Amino acid sequence: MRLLVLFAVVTAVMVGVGCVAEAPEARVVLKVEIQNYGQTSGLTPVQLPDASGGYAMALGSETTGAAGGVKLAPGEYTLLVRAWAPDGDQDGFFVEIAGKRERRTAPQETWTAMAYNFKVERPEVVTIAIVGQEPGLVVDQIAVVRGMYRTGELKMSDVPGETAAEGQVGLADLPRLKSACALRALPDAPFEKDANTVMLESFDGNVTGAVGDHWQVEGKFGRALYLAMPDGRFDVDASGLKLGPTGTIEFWVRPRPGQRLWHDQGWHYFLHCKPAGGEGFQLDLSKHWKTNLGLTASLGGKPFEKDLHPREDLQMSTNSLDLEAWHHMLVSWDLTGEKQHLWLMVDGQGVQVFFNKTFDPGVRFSKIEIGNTPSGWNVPYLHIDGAIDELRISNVSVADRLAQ
Amino acid sequence: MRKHIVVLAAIAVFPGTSWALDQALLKAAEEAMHKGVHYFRTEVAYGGGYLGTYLPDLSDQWGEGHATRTQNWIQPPGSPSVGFAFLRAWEATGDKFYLDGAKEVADALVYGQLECGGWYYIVDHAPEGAKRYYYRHNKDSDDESLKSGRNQATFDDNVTQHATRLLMAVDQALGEKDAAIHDATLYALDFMLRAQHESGGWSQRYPLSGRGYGDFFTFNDNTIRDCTDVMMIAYRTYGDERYADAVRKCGDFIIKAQLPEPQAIWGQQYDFDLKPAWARRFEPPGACAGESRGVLSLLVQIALFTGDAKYLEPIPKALDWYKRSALPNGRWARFYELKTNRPLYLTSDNRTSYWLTYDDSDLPDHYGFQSGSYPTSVENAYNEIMQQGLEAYAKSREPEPMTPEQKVARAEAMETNVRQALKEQDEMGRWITTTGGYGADGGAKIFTRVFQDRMRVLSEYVRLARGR
Repeated sequence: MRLLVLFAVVTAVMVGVGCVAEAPEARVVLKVEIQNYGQTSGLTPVQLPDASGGYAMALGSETTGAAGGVKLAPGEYTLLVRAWAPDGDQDGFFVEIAGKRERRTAPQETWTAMAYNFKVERPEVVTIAIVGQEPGLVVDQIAVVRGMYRTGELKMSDVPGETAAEGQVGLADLPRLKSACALRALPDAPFEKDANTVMLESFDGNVTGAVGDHWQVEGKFGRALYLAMPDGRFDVDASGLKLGPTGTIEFWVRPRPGQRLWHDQGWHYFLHCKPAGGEGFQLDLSKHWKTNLGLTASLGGKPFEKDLHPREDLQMSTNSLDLEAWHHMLVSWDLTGEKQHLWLMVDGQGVQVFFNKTFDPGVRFSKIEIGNTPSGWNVPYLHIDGAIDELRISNVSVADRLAQ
Repeated sequence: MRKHIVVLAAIAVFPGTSWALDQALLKAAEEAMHKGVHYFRTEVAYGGGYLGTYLPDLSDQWGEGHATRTQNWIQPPGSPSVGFAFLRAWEATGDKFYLDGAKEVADALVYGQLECGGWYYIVDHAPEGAKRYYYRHNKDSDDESLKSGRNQATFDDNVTQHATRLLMAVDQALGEKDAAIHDATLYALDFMLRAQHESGGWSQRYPLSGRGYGDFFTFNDNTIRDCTDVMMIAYRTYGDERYADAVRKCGDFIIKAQLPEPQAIWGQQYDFDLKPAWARRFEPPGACAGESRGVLSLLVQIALFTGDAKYLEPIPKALDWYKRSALPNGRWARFYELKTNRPLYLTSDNRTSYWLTYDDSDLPDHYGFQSGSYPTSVENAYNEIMQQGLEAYAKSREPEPMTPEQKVARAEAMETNVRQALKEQDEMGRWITTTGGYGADGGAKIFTRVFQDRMRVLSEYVRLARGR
């Protein structure tokens, strides 16, 4: 009898202080190999000792990674990322939880389950992305467990189940997801007109539509149009273009190397797609200290206004771009269906987002302006002071050209 | 009779002293100088160098930001400026005590000279400092960790320039007899010559990093102007033609960099294509009224230095721009848009993100987006030069030696300020105030700027009173 009482007391005490652990399986919301998680881009398999199944996935730059969503009840959670960094400097990568990005470095030449704590206030789908930074950093598995753990407290092998995906939400059910993307092939020749091309400008011959200071120079292919500071800009009358709910605008650009635009602290405007009638689907692509190279989709207005709504934004860093080289820029949209898509890419690598239907798919632009402040804004010149070449506007999105 | 003998003896001992002056005040001034410098040399200095602000008990300290005890701050009013205060005291009194203090500062600068030849904002005497910065004195060390730190000097905020000025002054005061100081001085001047771009401009930092606006030619904060000033002093001091060539080359750069009409002034910073360039997030490319005033003054100085009137040719067009471009409130915007000449401003989200605008209704308060006055002194100088000729104008500007009576009169006129400085000094020799530099938060502090100001008053007074 005394033993029973003692056992009951001990148990009660242990429950009281929380020592009785939840069954291990109940802690796990998600555990997957990274290549099986959500939407992936640019992951490269590498063979490594002690990797699950003998191999893991190397990340590349910021345009590579894996992104998905997990349905979570309110509570405290830990994301575990089993990572390995090679000897040298390639040990940085990003983790993005519910849109908040954090950079850390993984220990070199040792597997570590790096822990990221987060809280969920109400039942929701939380998007989680693993994003590359320094090519060569390797990720094996990721897991989401209940509770707050520090790095080193839990190994991935402590997390039971080969793959447990109770909370992983299918891509179709996510309200929004940003992830890396890449083209299967970067254009390496002048564009040719095809069935989907609504406008093609090589800048090889006489050019109409340029305003401000401009002249022709040697281009990526043939001749190019130089849009000089402060006021050079190239305007396309888009009113007659048969653009619609899907489209792609791409061109080559080479800002004057001497200004070091790609990593300066300045503000430069690359592209503005002006909605006909002043309201409607609008695209803006600019580079600014706060946003890096930022694409904004909105229904009119100025992207730097805080109360602009609705809006969707994509951003990428340009710090590593070669100042001397030509770079391919691509902006694309697909507003068909209940999930709408945007893409932003430089040199065939970039970021994409899909989101629940937000914009009217009846896209009509009056003008497409390249290389400076949009007309009519009463905002100072935000020149690119550089050359553009091979402009192509298509009425299909870039989806079919993406690497899988 | 005895009284006359005493007076005659006093005059013999202190030639040039006017007995019309208050001798007790003179003596008190000299004692205050000694007490103030003694306190600085023995209590405040670290490694012979100084910061900008200290708590009265020396338990905390600041340069432009918070600093450690082992650090010295190089831009004015840091170490070199304190060194100049000591030198002025020495020139006023002839007392080697002050020259020794100036030499300590110079030695601290020699310690903190980077291997490239210039200085960074901070010199750190702590062991960690020797790993963070590659100091020239570690050049022959076997410890590679002492040679892997920062080796890029800055010309921003008059850092390398003022350190070099102080070294030149101490080098001369010592008769070029201190080998280490003399060598460091010439090494610094060689660095400045190397750092001058072939176009004639100086970048904000050197050696160039290949990234960022620090590589760009910078008029901001008088960067190029201070470099040119150092070259002029160097030529007058050492007579080496290379320094004079550097001044001419800078003048040629300024002529090339002048923006085309109708905005014939200058940008704040230029890239290697000599186009106005972005610097910090709130410094757009544009015509810069703020810095162009300094550029105009510099052109006059270069013309006088070289005797070549071509350096005055850009001035009339620039003055004409100022006349046309004033704002309705009588001031000038700092930046004007290229081609349109519209004033440019920036709005800010909490000093992290800045958005270019034409609207001046919500300006960040940490930067002078509007300022200043018409460059009247430059216009006056230009007109006088046009009337008299360069040589005659230069001659007319040479200061006339003061007569003994003028010195006495001037000293007498300073007595009120001298008494005030004496009154403010405490028994330890400190001047403690609540304002006077970085770190001012209403609390009592020792500001090196205040020390320098008080020492300037006292040194000048003593110099005049002693007839020097």
